[in-house]
Amino acid sequence: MNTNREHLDDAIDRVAKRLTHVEDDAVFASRVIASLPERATWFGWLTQSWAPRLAMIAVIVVAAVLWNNRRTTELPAVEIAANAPPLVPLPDAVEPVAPVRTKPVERLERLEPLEPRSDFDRSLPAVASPVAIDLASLTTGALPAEDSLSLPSLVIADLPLTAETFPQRD
Amino acid sequence: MNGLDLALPMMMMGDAEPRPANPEVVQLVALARTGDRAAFGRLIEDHLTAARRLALAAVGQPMDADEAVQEASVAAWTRLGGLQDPAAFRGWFMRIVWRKAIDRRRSLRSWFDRFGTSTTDDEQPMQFATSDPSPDAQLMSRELELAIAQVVRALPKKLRDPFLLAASGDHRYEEIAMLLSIPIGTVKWRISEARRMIRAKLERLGHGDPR
Repeated sequence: MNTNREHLDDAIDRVAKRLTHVEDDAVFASRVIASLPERATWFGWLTQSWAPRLAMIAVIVVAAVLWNNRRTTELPAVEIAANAPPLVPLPDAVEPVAPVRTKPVERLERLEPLEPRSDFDRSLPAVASPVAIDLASLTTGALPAEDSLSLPSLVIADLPLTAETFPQRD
Repeated sequence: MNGLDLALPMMMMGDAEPRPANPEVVQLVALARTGDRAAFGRLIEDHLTAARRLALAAVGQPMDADEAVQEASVAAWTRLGGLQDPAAFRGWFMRIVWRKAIDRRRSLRSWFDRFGTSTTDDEQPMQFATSDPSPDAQLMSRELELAIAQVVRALPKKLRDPFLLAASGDHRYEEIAMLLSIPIGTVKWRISEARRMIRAKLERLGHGDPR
């Protein structure tokens, strides 16, 4: 039993080893070495392909153009001095400033509530009619039959409307 | 010996002692960091066979394995400055190779088909033991080995990867554990489970252990 089992195990090991067997290939090693790239440095990405190179060149050109076109207008020093306000001399000694203290709150007088006043108190005084109109003369019998109706003109004296006649508003 | 060790008759490699730091490797890494291609070439040559076997275990096709190793070598060359411990170059390089091979396997998507149509299976006959003199025994052995190869290819990747890595004879269990990012105990269990599944399938195919 063990002989057969050992025979089977040997066969399994032999086949498994054969499945991972490789022939010696002296050329393969040299081919691998020949395919090694240059050792990459931290800036190798910049020097090994064209896209980063062009991008960096573009950045440099743009920066140079912006630097050349920067604003260089400067005010002359004399003009600045002329426009400057005169200097205020500092006092020799600074007077002590009294400390700011809060004042006690004064007691307010009690206000009496305002009584509402009627509107007529603020109204204008009654204006007396200057001339009484005689309406009796306007009866139909008194009217002329054919002549045109004519009324005597009304004469109205000046109304007593002055500034003094207006009451003061509260 | 426990049951696990019995299940791993040939693949028992020294897994207790860590590999001693090779001063030559340290020196070559230091030179390669300065841009010395010859030094890096020496490093690659020293680990090239193991790297190719490693990649072959992942992709199953020698051409794809070599391309993965080449990509890994370029990646190692460019990232050599990130290697913390120069003495750990081997494990570091193997991890890069394994990742590149896995990436390639994912992109291929037809690992089984490519493995099955591998020209190496057709061009290179199985190596029979010298103790099989008769043609009948040779025929039986060849049929058995072809069946084993098919069963191994049909294993789940979780079992097949550690099984083939261990079978390549280049990697200790802790190295396999590091490559697969799993504990050593899991590596041993998966290898044992792979062998158990292979035996069970062979029995179903009529090549089993006649107990």
